Amino acid sequence: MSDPTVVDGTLLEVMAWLAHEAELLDEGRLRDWLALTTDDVRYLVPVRTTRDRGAPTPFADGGAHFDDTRYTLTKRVERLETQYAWAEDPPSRIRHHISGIRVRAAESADELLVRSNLLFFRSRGDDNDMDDIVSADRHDVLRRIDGELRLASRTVLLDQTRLPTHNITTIL
Amino acid sequence: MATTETPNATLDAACASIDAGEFMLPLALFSDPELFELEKERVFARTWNFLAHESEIPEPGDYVLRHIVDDTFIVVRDEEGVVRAHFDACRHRGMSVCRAEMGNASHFRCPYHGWTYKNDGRLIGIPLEPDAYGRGNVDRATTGLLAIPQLQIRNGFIFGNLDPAAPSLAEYMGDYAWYFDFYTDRSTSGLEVLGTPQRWILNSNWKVLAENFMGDAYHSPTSHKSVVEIGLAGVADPKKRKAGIHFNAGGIGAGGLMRTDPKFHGYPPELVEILRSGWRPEHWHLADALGLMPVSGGMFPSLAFLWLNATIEEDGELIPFFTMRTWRPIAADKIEMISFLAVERDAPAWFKEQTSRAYSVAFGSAGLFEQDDAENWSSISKTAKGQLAARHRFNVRMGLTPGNEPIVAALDDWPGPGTAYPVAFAEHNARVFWQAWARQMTNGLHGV
Repeated sequence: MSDPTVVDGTLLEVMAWLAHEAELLDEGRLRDWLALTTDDVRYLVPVRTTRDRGAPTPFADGGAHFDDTRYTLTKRVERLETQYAWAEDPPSRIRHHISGIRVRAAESADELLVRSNLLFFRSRGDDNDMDDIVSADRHDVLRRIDGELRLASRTVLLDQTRLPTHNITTIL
Repeated sequence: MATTETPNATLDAACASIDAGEFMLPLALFSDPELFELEKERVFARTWNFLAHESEIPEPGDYVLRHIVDDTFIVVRDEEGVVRAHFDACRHRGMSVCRAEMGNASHFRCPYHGWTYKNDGRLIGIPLEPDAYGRGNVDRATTGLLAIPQLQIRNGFIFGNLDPAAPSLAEYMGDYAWYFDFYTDRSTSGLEVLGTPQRWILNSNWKVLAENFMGDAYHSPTSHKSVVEIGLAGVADPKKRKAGIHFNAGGIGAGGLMRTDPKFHGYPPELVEILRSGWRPEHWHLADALGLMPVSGGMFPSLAFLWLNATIEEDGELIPFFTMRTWRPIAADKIEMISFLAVERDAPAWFKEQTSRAYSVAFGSAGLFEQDDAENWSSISKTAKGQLAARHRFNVRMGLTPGNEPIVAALDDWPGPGTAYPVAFAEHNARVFWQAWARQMTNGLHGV
């Protein structure tokens, strides 16, 4: 069976888009990042548990780490714009290391299914107590609106069942 | 057993201040590694630890893997429907027989030498037994998985105790059971855990947050100011000091109740009806006639509740959510935080979806409230480690006059057991926490 992954200019476009999106997040340009999302965007980071082989799914339904719409994503950005977001003041140094980008056609002609590997690094404070790494498999739906790609949904499937970090303050 | 049996300066200093009613406590409580070793034995090995909720293991064979500090238990519903907690260690060489966090199994088989146990714990298979051991030489009846010494369930909450001689859960709770039921016995079909608990590492001594959850409303206007500013939720208004109640009961439980606006945390009519028919009349009276809803609270040493609300859509409607949490101490400066979302089982599906989203945006690892709590709490144990820190005392005196009397007297007409103060901000509950801790650490010699 041939690999349905797209390998053409679309792949290049998506790679550039993801790198640009990561730059916005890593630099804290969150209003610009919000503008990359659709009005009906869904952002989900479910909880993972260790399951035996053959179990239906390791991901739970409900009580997720993130379960956001445009409204709650906007609230997250608004909070960081207040003077009182102690968890990110001083700000963490974050970096999205993205690899394994795969693009597939969606059912809808104006959408693309994008998978990427994420190694997310976060360092905080003046020592290494909070040098945290989160690894995940990201499943995105990008939608072309007026020629521009926008994030319509992202599901982040964590590799970790217990997060090594005291909080998640950023979009993965 | 006196504190001098295993001398610990931090413990002694703390007990002296607690017993004197002074409550200026050594900061080393949040960092002393030897103290932590004592706590493992004197607190967590002798009290009731919340393990799981029955709704997580509804069917025969369903199990979850849970922990009391370094001891791991398979919390399972056996084929007869009985809930059990087996120490996860093969009786042969101590290998874990259950390495998935959850699932369904009729048996647990050790991957090392193949000993096999039925899910009720009975040993039912030893490979090559006649040649290896001789028939009948291994006493099956006494070689099953070790059962947790005590297991009790209240309102679906499964608690385990490593001390076979510890008082029963009901005896331990005492008058706190009345409040525990106000928080959790509120639906004729019970509560249901949605999803699986979030787990994350927090570099904090467990007592920092345990004390907070017992009823620290004072931190909210500061820690959670950003959340109020963006209109996600309300917190106690510093000006409305009389809008809250701090209660404690049984010496081991405490919490905060608030006159919420909207009433019932904003539960829609369908859910209010569930509460009305689920709660005992005296609990319905508190919420309906007095307008008081539980907001925070906990039971010593490692169970806490938050019952709050948050907006999840532009319309600004406040969606209630209920979370219980526990913590697994790993070191004097590290815990694993375990956060559950629960809802009334008969709530409509649309409410379950909403409450889940409200919980996630407010609490949990990425919750906009919880992020700042984690930031605060992860600093304290670090500060508490140093030499100068060892000489520092932290202040647990809010609500007391210099003569150690309550500034605002307890209510004499409170329609519930224990003690209730009509204050939104006070540290009565923190003092109850420290007294419970002192009693537990010294077998009742201190903290009375």
